[in-house]
Amino acid sequence: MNDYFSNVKQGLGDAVERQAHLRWYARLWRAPRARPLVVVVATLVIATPAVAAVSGWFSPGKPNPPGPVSPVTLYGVVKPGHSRLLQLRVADEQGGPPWGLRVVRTTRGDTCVQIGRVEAGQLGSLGIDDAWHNDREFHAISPDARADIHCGSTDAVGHGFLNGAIDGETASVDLGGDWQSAIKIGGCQLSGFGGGSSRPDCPAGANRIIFYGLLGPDAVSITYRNPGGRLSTQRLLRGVGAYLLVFPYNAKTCAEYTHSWDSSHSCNTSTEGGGPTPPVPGAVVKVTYTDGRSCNLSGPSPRLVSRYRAFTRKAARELLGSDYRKREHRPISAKLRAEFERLLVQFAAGQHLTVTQLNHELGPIAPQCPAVGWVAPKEPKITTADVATPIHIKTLPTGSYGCPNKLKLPDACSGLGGLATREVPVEWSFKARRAVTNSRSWYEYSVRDPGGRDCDEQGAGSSYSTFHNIRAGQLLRFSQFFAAGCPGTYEITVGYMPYASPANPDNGGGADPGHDGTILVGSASFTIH
Amino acid sequence: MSAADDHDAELVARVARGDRGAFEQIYDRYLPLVLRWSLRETGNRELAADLAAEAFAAALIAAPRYRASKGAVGTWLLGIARNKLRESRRHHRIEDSARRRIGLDRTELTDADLERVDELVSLEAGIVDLLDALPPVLREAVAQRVIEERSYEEIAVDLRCSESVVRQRVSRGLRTLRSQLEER
Repeated sequence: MNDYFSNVKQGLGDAVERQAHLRWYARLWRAPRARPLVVVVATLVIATPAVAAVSGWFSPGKPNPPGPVSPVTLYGVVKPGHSRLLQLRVADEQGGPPWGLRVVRTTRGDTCVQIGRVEAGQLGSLGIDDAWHNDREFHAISPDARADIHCGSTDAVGHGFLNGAIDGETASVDLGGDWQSAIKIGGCQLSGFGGGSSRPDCPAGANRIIFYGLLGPDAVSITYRNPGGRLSTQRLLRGVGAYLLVFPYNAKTCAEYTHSWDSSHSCNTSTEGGGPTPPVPGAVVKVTYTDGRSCNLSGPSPRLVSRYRAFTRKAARELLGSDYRKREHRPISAKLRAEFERLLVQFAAGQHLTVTQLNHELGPIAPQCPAVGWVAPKEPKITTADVATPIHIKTLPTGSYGCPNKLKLPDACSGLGGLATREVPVEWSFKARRAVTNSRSWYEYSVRDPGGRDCDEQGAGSSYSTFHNIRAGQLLRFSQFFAAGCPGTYEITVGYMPYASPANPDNGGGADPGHDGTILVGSASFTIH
Repeated sequence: MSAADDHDAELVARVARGDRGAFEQIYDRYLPLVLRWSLRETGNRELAADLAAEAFAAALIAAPRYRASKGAVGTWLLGIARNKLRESRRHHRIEDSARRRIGLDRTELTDADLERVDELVSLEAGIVDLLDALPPVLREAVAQRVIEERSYEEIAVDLRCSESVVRQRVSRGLRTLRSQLEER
């Protein structure tokens, strides 16, 4: 069957093999695909009278209303008076007001950016491409608008560190977002996006791919790839290390910047943010800092990668035989490894390189930039003794529960499907000894189930991280339904994250209390008989 | 930790060493779980499919860091999915940073894919064992669609009926299986 899930399985399976291949032979960057030159359209300019003249054809319209927000949840709300439109302007290929970047600070300590078109010193969206009923007016975006905001860490002296990419942004500035959108202004969707949206497909040329970031006060310039591959260097806005790149978005640029376009796939709207590293793969290939240091994000030359891949295939065939595909992921003997090293030296020499130089050229698989200039918060070191507290567990009577149900549990349907099944409702609680006042700090728990092949299916095991402010001394309550047919002892472990590192904003490995920077608060267990 | 958990933990370790077959076993086995959880949390089949794909991509990256002491593989995967959802809520879009990192494109879902979401979330543990209890016409349709993963068109040709009839049979069959599972 050639469906979405089969394609995902195929793609991830390929990645597993690729990783193994890389590990076995050497570090190897995924090669960017060579693409023909496409039209270069984005140019960074400082606001000039010429730009203002071009933008004049948009008259002021109704401002964008602010969306529903909470000052104590997720990244919070924009603090009044804490927004600044940076002096960055990027011309758009179709003319009109240039693109700009506004930096805001939130009630939960995040530094965020908003991206839009700039007219008369204001950031906004345009009434084109089915947005705002095509009124061709400029609609200012309020700094406290919830939509289209991208957030990251703030250091102890107020510098923000975040980077991101938006693929498929509309030229009108898509404030609707894909999900939980706060503002409904219409607009178009990326052609072929599907998904049952009522929006019409965007006309050709209406979409952009945008790269943005705040690299901190010590970053002085970036080197980036224009569509087609030409490199440019841009000095960053002093004090904040800001950059903004806007390119046309189409099959070719999607391929160039995401390495993923082919006839069976489409490139959809996406974003990523946080951290001091510009998106990889992406447009930025190098960041240079004041002390002369640099962070190289460029891949090796496609030609070198192609030759290296051919070499590894040939070497594998020579060393492992024609059925090397079946054997290449297995451990190899020291003798074979030595033989491979010998061939590698020969290959490198053929490229006029040493093996060290070759490894340097091929680069790391997933480069990361350090948070240069980051000033860590001055907080006393927190240990388990500072946060440890008893975890109380209450097991409710077993019964048949579906979602919704009449139990007034803190997580009303956690662990349940829609239909009623025999479940054991369990609630656990503890008093938070330390407050959580920002988005970089949280409490988390994990539930370790007693195992059993059939029981995993009920969601018996899980983990969770809070994403809202918590007072010191506040009682935190959680609950979950556990399948009555999965007997055994369940262990709940709670942890506290005092302040997550900016270099690792994405806790992609799942909550793991007591590890990865979190401090163990306590644990408790219960048994289902 | 049970023998089954040990087996799955070993599978994750093999994934970290680059064993594609191990990954496929993990994916096949846990996709319904992750998908069901994602659907419950997002309430949207498309978002759920997107989130599940991102969670598996993140798991692939995190596989070398997986320790059996963290808990069962299902727990670990749901933890990843939950954190991905948290990050997605921050950004108002389902994250795709893990997929981008490993070069996996985000693809669009067709109507058939959305139907597949419904089928996968219906794949409760033990449901296949109950297949024999279904009337033959329903059993055949469910088996061909869910186990053999054949298209509705192929099944319709095979069973000499229309695609809509096949869809009805699969839907009724899965509903019957679920209710039988709940009575157990």
